[in-house]
Amino acid sequence: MIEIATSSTTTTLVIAGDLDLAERDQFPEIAARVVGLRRQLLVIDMCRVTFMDSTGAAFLISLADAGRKRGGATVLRGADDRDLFVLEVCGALDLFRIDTDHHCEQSDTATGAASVELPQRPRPA
Amino acid sequence: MDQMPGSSADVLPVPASRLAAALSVTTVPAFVTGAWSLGMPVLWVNRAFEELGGVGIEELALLGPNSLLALVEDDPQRTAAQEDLKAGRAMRRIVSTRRSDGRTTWLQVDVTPLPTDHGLPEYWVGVTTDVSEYVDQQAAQLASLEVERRQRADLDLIAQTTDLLGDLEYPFALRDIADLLRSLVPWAGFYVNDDGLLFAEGVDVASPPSGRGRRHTRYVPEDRTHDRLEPALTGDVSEVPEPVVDDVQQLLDGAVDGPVRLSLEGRFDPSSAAGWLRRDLMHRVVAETGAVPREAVVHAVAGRRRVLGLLVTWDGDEPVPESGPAPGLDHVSTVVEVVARRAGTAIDNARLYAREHRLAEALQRAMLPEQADVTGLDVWTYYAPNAEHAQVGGDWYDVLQIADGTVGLVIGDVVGHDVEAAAAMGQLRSVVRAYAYELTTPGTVLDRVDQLVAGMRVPRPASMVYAALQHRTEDDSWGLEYTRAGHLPPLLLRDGGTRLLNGAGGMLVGFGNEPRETGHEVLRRGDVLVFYTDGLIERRDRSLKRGLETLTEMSGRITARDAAGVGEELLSRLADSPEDDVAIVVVRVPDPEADHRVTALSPRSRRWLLPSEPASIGRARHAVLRTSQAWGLAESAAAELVVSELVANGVLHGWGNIALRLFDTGDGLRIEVEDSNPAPPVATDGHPNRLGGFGMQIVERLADWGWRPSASGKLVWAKLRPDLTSGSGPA
Repeated sequence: MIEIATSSTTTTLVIAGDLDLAERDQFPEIAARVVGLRRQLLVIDMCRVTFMDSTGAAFLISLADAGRKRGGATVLRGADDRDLFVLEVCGALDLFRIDTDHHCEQSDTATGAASVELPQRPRPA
Repeated sequence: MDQMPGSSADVLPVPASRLAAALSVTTVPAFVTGAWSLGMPVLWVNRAFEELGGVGIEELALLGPNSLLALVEDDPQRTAAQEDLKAGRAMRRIVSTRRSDGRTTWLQVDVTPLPTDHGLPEYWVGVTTDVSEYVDQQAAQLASLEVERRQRADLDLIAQTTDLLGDLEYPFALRDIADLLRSLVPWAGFYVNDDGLLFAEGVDVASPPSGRGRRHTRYVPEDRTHDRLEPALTGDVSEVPEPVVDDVQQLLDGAVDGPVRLSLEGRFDPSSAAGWLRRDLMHRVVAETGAVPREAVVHAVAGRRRVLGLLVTWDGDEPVPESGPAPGLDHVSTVVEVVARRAGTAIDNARLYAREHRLAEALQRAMLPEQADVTGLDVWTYYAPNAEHAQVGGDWYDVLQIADGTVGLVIGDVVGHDVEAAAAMGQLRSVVRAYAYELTTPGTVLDRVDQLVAGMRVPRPASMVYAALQHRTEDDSWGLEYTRAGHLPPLLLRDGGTRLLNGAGGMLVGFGNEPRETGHEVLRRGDVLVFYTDGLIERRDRSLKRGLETLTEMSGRITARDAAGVGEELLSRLADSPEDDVAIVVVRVPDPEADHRVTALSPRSRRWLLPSEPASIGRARHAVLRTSQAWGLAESAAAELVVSELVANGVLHGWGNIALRLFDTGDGLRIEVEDSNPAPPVATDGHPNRLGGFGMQIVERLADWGWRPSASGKLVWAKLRPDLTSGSGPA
């Protein structure tokens, strides 16, 4: 699930759950809405992201790239090591300011590897 | 002539007068002029010169100073040559002149000053040589070089176009082709007709343009500053022009082959093809080139059956000469036509392929058994259509959550492997499902199925088992009721023993002349039920009875404590080279107390068959996660990422269902993903500007990987590196 919040200067994107091919259908609309808000700063809150692969990374990159073209910046908050690794392999870490000081509110939002319960996804037996 | 200063005639053995006579009769046209300051008046010409120019000395004298220039038609080097003359230097230039007979001749003119003792020369002697042949040859050579260069450029452009069309999945293929064409014309662009014309930068291969549509009303931004012609859409009806033949629509309809020229200054019905295209072109060409176009050339982008779109070029409104199009424009038109044709074929192929693919996928998905998530039971299912046949077969299973605490299980087999068998299976499956949700007692369900099927003319005989499981909360056991219609008996595995549930047998589906029976069992914690089709045990070299004995014997040795493990042991021991379709359903009642205490010795490999849909990616990750935990493997974060990328690739680019296999090599987890597309996986998918090509790079960073052709497609494997340190991996 992806929520958009906005203030006069900042758009905040709160992402929860898996960020992979299964979620791709909603990416264009969200990207269009974020771009349409035209805020200088985009904060992407990844605290509740359970998993992100290259498809999800491509989505974040497209957001950051669109922001950079307008002279804005993108902050990545609460991304775990694996998320950063994926962005690094995509050669896109430079597009983001990584917020290392942020502490996610919920403690059970660690990496997808540690979390056994993945919401939203039908669980095969 | 005799008084010519500086004459050296006296040193020659020939008298000067003879020399003058010799000059007169020589066949080289020659002349003598006066000084530059006097306008180089022609003082003398020889006979050859008179013949060449068709003028004598008298006529030249009448022309006054600079009379020689009057003879010259074309003189590319005039300025430089005149500098030489002014300075008194000898000069050579090539000029064209019209001969007396009207032909144009190229002459090399050499003008040399006669030596003088003081200052600038007073006399010049000129000699002309006919170099027409040489000049023509050179011109022809240059022209042919130019033609060759252009042909090479055109071929190169067409080759690049072909490359781009080879990968229509690239979302800007058409835009890039149009960009290539813009080296030939100031503006080019593609339009597709998909329920009305639409500017296209690429082709959506998942839903390519239909080529249908006769009303063209997609929104075009209004820019009235350049556009005085368009009648307001909302306004005066009388403004709408008389209906005329719409050339563009004719092109779209395939009524004319084209290309057609579209006047952008004409009036058209706003929602006609020409009207819409005119509006869109005005907007785009003005926005992109700054010029206001007057006329565009429209080529059809034609598929096999119908025109799918248009390739529109604007040639900068260069005036067309009366003698027909210039040779330069001719080749542009040819290239554009070739490009349009190729684009049409490529889009058409994408269209046909997408249609076939959608059909096959839809059928396959409808045919592939589905497994509902059942609460309270550990269920593992497996279905392998015979590799030699299509991805559809006659075997099927269903796991249905009928109500809270009630689960329905179906396994069945329609004779045959062809599409008809698959279709019959699909029908039967729906019938069984429908009754299963209505009625609970299996015998009753099958009675109804018999009644319906008997009247349905299902073309193939079929066997099946239907079982219903009911949870009993008082002792956490499950009541089992089942009935069989000519199908092999399910297995019940309990405490290391195996029992065939061979009660409640009956005839094949549709042949139930007597009421069906219902068998009863009670399942306790740790019990395992195995439903299967004959593909699991049937071999040419042994009877079905022997096969059943082997199955019972093998099952007794199963030690796995999870349904996936039980299935794996069955498959690895019995069905490594199945000759028929195989469908298996394993249901295990979890034993929360004992399962943790006992370490299973079952083989460390697992397999799943997943439908080709995005939701399968998440399921595959769960499978890896659970398996890694069961096997006590540490690098599950990396494994999750690798399996996600591999299965996503399979879903995006693969065909058919996706088989996932996991192995514990003792030296890291090995992941295998198999699909039916024989084309190799693409590491960096060739488009640096396209996101999403990083999947295999991620795999590459975390695992050794490779691929090989498999019986029905390809198998991509990845073995996770066990030594992933924090620097090189995410774990």
